[in-house]
Amino acid sequence: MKKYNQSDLLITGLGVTSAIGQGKAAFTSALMKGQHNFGIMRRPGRQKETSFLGAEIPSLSYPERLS
Amino acid sequence: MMNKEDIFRLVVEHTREVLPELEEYNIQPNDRLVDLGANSVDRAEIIMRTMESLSLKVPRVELFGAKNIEELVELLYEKIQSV
Amino acid sequence: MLRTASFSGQVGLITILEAWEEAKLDKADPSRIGLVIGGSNFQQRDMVQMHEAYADRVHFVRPTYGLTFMDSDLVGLCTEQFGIKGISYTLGGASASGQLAIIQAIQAVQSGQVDICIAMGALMDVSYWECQAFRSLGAMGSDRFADEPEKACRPFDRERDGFIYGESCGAVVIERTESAISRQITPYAIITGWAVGMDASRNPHPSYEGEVQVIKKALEQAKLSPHQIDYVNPHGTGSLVGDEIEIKAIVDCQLSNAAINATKSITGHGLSSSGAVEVIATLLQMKESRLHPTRNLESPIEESCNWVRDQSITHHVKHALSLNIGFGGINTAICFYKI
Repeated sequence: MKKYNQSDLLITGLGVTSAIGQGKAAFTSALMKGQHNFGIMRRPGRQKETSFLGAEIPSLSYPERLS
Repeated sequence: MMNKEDIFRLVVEHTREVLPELEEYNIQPNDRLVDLGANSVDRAEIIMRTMESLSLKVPRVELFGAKNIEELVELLYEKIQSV
Repeated sequence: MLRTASFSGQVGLITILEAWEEAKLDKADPSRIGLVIGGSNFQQRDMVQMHEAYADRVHFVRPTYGLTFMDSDLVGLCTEQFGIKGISYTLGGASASGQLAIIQAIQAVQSGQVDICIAMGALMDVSYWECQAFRSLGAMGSDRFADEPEKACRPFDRERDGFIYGESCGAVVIERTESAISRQITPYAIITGWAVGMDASRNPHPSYEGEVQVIKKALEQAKLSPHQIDYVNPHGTGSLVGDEIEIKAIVDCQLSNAAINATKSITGHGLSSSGAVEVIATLLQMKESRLHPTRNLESPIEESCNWVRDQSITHHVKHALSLNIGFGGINTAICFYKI
């Protein structure tokens, strides 16, 4: 931390959940490979007379601390 | 017409829906929802889901005052007799 | 907490937890931690499902709907879960919400309201109503690629015809060195400049002047000349007009030499979350010294830019610029510096 001035505004933590991965490691790996998750959206309430293309989060894993 | 045991079973079923951690626990008539871990939002959910199952259309305020599940069942039973 | 949370709320809790643990916030004073949640109308799909299920028996509507229909329910959920006692609220800036939340969080730290502020771009859980209206508005891509969904999302490509939605959520922890130092953290980067500017327009299309203005203001605050920027993470949704205006602004601001890709070509467009998720993509790429590819960029609308195309590349980034644009004429820009 010596390189930084006391008043510098820093980014010290990141969290991400997305259709291409939950957590930074999975997200980064998919990004670098260009691994997408596009398809017809299936979630209830997201299709009626017509369906739409999009990318949905495949499944969520719930960390112990939140359960 | 539902009897009190049927209503009790419904309350238990909806309590377990809202509080899945009670799946293994044997819920008793003299249990209090609050002691089982239901906060005010959870209690409102359990009572409303039970009313929905009973098609009992009375204002929720008329079900206030029950001290435990048995008393809640009594109140619900009274209401379905009177509508 | 998770059992009565909406989908958007669940994803928010999971996402903040990752950032919280990385920043070791259990060791920080909760009364000095804030949370700004970017976005609005997070829970539209839940609402549609609730309305449909109870349309003819409104009396029995689930009581939790009285909480979940409000965006601020996410504030309640997240502050309770993590014991956050500083400040917390939501703020809306359409597709720029995530960056707007980051900028607001920066200002909360700068002003001394809190020592640490988490900015979250929350998941906007759209229903078919929003999808259809976005499509009718000409913003969301058509079903031209229904049989080849992998080809539909194509920012900056000549064959694009609108954005493709993608669920996401991102959380970013912001604080000064003096606050972070005792918890022994390796920061991702320093925030060196930022800007918010309005076009005075309700139109979904961005304005060239508005975009140029925020780029210049952010660079000016960061005391950078355009050629010092090594990487630009653009808004790049794949919209017909938006992409043209944005790339013209980038070129005219003399940023053509900086490497550029489009994160949404892989993730899709998260709407309220996109600003935060793309800042995260920017910082992760800086950390890896590697830039991700741009999917479906077969014939770019602007050839003079330094595109990362179908393969990731090794690229050391010292200074990065991340851009967002939202309906309602909002433009945002943030500069990051990695030592």
